[in-house]
Amino acid sequence: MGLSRGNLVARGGATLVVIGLAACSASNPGTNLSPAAAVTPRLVTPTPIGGASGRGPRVISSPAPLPGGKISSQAVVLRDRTLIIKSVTSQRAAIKNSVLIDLDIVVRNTSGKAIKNEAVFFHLIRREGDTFGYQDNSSNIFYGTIGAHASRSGMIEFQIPSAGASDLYLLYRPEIATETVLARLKIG
Amino acid sequence: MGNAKKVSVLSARPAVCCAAILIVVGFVVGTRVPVVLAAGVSATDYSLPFGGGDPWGTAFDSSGRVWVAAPRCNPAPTCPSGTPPGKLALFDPSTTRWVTVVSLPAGYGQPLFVKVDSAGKVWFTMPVTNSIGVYDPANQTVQQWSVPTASAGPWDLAIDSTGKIWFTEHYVNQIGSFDPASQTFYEIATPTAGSDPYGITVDASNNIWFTENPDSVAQIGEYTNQGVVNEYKIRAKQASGLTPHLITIAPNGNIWWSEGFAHAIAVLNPAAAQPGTNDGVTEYPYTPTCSKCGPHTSGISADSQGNIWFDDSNQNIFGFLPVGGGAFSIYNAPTGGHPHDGLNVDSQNRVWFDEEFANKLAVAVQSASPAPSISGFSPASGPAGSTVTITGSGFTGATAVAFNGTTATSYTADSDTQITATVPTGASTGAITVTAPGGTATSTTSYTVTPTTGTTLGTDTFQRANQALWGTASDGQTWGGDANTKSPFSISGDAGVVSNTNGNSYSAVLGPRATDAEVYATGSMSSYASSNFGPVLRWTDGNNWYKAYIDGQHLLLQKKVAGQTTSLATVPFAAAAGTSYTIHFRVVGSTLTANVWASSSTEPSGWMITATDSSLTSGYCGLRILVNSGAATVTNFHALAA
Repeated sequence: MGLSRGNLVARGGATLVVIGLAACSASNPGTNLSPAAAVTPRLVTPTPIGGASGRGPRVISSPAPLPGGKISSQAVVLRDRTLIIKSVTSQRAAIKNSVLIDLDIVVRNTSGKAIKNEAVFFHLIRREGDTFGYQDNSSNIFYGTIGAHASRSGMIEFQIPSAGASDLYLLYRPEIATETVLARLKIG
Repeated sequence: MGNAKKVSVLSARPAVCCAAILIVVGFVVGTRVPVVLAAGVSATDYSLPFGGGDPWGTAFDSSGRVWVAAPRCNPAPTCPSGTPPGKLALFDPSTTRWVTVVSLPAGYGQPLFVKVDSAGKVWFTMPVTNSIGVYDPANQTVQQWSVPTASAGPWDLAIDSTGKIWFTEHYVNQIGSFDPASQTFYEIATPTAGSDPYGITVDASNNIWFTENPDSVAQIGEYTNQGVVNEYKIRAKQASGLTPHLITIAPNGNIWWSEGFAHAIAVLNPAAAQPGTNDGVTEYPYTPTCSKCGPHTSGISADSQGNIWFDDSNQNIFGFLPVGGGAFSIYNAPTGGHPHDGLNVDSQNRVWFDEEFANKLAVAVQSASPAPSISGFSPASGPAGSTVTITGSGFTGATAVAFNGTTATSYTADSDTQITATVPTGASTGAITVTAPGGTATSTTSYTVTPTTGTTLGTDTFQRANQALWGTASDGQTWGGDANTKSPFSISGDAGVVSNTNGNSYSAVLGPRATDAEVYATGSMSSYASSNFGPVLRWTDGNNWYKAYIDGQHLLLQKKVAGQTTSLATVPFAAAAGTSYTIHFRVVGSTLTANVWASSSTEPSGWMITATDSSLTSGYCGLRILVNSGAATVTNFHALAA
């Protein structure tokens, strides 16, 4: 395939400052906060007429290292289990433009019932919105049912594009949807 | 069948009265700098009328205005706690102004993708709060619904022709729909676990198409209008980094998607698709120009001219690929501020996209496409299946090539000045046409479609009732040349007869025009006195032909070009009056060869006479006969492609 490329022209813009006053009432559900000036958009705070928001995944954006643990370590405490991430490291993959992200992890069942522990529960996600689930390797004994008050430990190795290797979150979605969590990963 | 769950939403919250002082500081209104890009595309961008919008999805209303979802954080993967509700902004291209900013009220999340329904209502997803919402510009109200599955991550959305809202649930292996009329959710699980659907679109038959995003899955999903979930592989084997992202439908019904970190776009031809395989899938990678940036092919949309537009957030580029193949055309985004998932082509073929980190909405305008023209093609003739190189201009984005009206099923726009096409089955001789965004070009000369070797071009056994002229041959074709206009021609005694021609040579031709051909003609002369007969090839009219004939003493090869007769070769051959002979005459390229033998025996091995000439390149097959006394009697004629 051929490839042509256009020119990049640097550019700038003007800045305006607008201060508006918003007010609304039941009989006037929408409020125009700004006069209809030619260059000023109408600012609207709409009237909610029903419904309620839901709850997204629990988010851990500032993980705390484990006491005495590595900087990349953290504990993700969920209702029936705890994920103990002992470390997160990266290394260059054999495939060009790819890196390996290694999670040294323990899944501890804190409940009195068996829980599942499957590869499909573990994805990585970053700012472009894409998820990575391609596990180049994992410990042979890591995945499988975990009995009451038992745990499994091992290594998960994701192979991801180099361009996707920063600002990574672990998207953990187990068999119980409400246990879904987004946990920021510190690599180190 | 997918695992569908039905959930009714009955909760409603009364209208809330509020008062607030709203302060917007540091926003930019209508700032724009035109950027002239290569190959007839110019781009402009407009700052959002508030800061920190992180614009993401875009959609058009019925007036062609552009709605932009502004989550006011980067919600992928999530927004920091305390992020205020997001905004929706409306841009009017006709005035190049932002006309409305909608600030979602407290209790709402951050809109990510946006779509406008047929009533003008603006639908949006809010993954951080696991909800979908709708803003009604008519009465400035807003409403939201929580998605039934916890932490589902409602992401991209689409609206089908019944008004149903479809959305991907990016944190789980589901897509969902919401029926505004019945306030009912349905959720459909994909067979593949962990499929994390990302992009979603609806085809003309209300089949729902979506991407299954993680590289551990990397499939295209389809939820048919019959309620069946199909999954199509993109590659036969899993590949790290292949993350099918957003998805769109081309005007021809093919499914296109962006491939995220695989720096490619790809297409599925539904007619060739087989669930569980990657049949019908073609990937089109491009080369990232910034080696340090990494790629991310993000937004994707089709214009009406047959171009698939996309952008690459990490490369800060946008561009297109013609549906019919050819080269990518790629341009820098105006500001270089992360052109991402908001790429959409409007009804005027303007390409809109968000520049997320620059807080801008950009638009690329295609200049009027030049009218295509055909300056030539090579070769000038050939059978179906042949490759023809067409030269000219204005071929970029070509959407069709036809041979005398028969559309070529295979062609490639090699460049703006060259197309390589395959002559389609069923094509006939005539002009070549190329349809491109600028119009349709027609060649000034005809491409000659020649039959494949061995194909019968014409045959006549003359087994029919006596009649004047030769009429219709036994193969159903009508004789041409002089055979149906000159009185010496008749059918008599199950033979074609040519009686005294009074010193004129007359022609009889049968079948289509051909380039390389051969004729077997069997007949006799009642006298060879100033008389002869034999087959002609590449006959155009009485003044242009090749002929092999016998005159009683010789077998001769002759040509007549522009009325000038030239003998090409002669060998002795004694022919007796009243005896039936068969003449086999063949022309391939510039080589003319012939044999003659008494019809009661067999054709000699090898050729009795050969000549080389390149004066004539194509024409009809037939006979040419001179009878000065008595009559020529023809009992069989068979022409074939050689």
